[in-house]
Amino acid sequence: MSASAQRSLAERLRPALVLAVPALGAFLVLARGQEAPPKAPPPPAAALSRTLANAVERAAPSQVLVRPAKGPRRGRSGVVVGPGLVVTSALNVEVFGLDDLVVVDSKGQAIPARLRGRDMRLRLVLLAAPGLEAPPLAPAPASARQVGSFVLALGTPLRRRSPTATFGILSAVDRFQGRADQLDAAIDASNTGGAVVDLEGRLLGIAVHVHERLGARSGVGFYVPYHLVKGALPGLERGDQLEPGSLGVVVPRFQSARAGGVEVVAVTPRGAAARAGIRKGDVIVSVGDKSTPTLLSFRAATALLHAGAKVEITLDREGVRAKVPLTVLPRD
Amino acid sequence: MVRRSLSRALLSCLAGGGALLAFWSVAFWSGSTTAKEAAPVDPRPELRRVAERARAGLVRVRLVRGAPRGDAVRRELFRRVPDRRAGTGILVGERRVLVHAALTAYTEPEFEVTDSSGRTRRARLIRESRDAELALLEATGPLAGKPLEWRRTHGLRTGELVLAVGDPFGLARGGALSATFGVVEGRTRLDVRESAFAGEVLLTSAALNPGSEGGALLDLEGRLLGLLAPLAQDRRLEAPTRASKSATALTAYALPAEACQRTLSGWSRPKLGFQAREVEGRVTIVRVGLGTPAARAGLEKGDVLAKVGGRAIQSTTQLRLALAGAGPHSLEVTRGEETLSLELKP
Repeated sequence: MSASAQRSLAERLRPALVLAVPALGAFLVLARGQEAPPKAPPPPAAALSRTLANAVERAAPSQVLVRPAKGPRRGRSGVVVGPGLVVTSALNVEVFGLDDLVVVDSKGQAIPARLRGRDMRLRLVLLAAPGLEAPPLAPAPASARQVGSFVLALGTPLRRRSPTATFGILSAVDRFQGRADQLDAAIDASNTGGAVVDLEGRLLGIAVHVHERLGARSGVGFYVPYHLVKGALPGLERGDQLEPGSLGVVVPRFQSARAGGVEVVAVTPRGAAARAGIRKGDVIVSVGDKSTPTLLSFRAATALLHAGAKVEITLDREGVRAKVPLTVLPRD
Repeated sequence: MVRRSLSRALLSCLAGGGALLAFWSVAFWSGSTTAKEAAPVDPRPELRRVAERARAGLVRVRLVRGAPRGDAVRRELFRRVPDRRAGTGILVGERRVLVHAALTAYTEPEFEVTDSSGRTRRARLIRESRDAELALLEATGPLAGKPLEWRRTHGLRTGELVLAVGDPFGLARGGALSATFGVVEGRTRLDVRESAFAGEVLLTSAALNPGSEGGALLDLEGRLLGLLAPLAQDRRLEAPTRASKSATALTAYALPAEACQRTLSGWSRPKLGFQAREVEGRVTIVRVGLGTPAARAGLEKGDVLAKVGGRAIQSTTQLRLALAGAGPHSLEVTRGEETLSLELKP
């Protein structure tokens, strides 16, 4: 009797359950839909504010202080780019002298560092600090490098270990023949050498000092974009000391009518071009594998040539193409 | 049999649950994508609200009389801060205005303050603190506007957006104060050689200029994070090359809310003219100064303070907080057996 009662109960329950479960589900979905509006997203400025603070927090562990081991305890900013490797502005190291440096991470640990490589084309140096545990900063994708994007410039000034942050937008890309991007976040001695990051806290580049004339915190600041830093890193790790180079040619200030290349107006006596046999009146068609149909492309192709670099110049001399090997000499 | 039908019921349960799960995930997915598309992107109303509210809590301040002072206060302040004769002030009471001490380092200074309604009143210096770099002015009559709410800067994160509202270059003449926009740049201690202020200050990337000082640094909810200080030439932030003097960095910073409030409550306390002691949750008056506001209110030694402004008082900290405002304060005092209601006018 009890068995049949149970059975009939179960039988009776079955359709009820079949109906009830989806109904309950539908109710829950609807309830969720109704619950959602009170949980409205924060107003845009507040959301941006939070995003910025999160970006700073995310990038903070890779931001380090560079200071002399002895002497005044003031320091300058640097960024961890690899295990035990710190990139900073060359000027920062010049202020202190090249020996006896110390890198202080966000936990306050001071690790002795020494100069590994120097790239004066980009005005960056690489310091080796074996034992530094701070994580390298993840790079931003190329798509993040767009004029108008929000950026933060991080610094590690004074005696504080937590980074400082200034905020602005990417003002222009490829300034100085493509060697730097421009931003309007305040850049001064305190964050030169520090990381410029996007809203996700990813590395866009390293803030650099270009010229006093451009002022400090003026709204016109510069950073070396990450793709150049990345390109220079292998050489810097090998210990390269790269000085900006000169071809030793004078080119017109304005685009000349001569098609296909850039005309050499004069050659510097005993310069690199003179040694390679380039003469006044030659037309430079390409530098290395980069063709130079315009003045702009010529400047871009030669901007990153360093002293000692060997490059093949393709010339047009009175209608005859010639390839000339050339060794770049230091600028004087 | 029973088991079979029960298990069948369970099975249909599971089927229903599965259907629900599928439905739910679809609903969630579509919900999240629509949320992404519909994200609002206009921050202007928020910023406008903050700026407008801030303007009602600030005044323009102008020095109308007074010769530069040659004392230690001035020397110490002005090693870093140039001569200032106009600036901004924060309303902290009906007639009281908190300003930066750079504005008050003059002999027998007299001021004019202009409130948000455009009304100008005379004001005099009533308090000054060198260590805090703050001064308090009192206007001859009530000022329009509403004091702003302070926010503790303890939990403030670097990178948070802030507004600085003040009167750079005196541009607000007859109009509204200027608002500039930036982030919390960080915190630092000023060099003792540079500054009288002892403690951490808030650095900001918002643009400050002469006349901004005394203005407000605000968060996006319009709460006061600090009082803007004059731009300082920080020797430690000199441009990287020694040859260049032109690129010396000017640091923009604010005196944090905690420091301002500490100074304000320090000023407001002794003026009342009594001392109290806390014993087992009872705050007892132990001293009343002759001719002080406390004496005028009828407060006597031995009185037990039960309530101030309707709030029960069980500790001197509570008392200090309750008396932090400008007053007058309504007191409920127990004297022997009886309970008295007194009014304490500062």
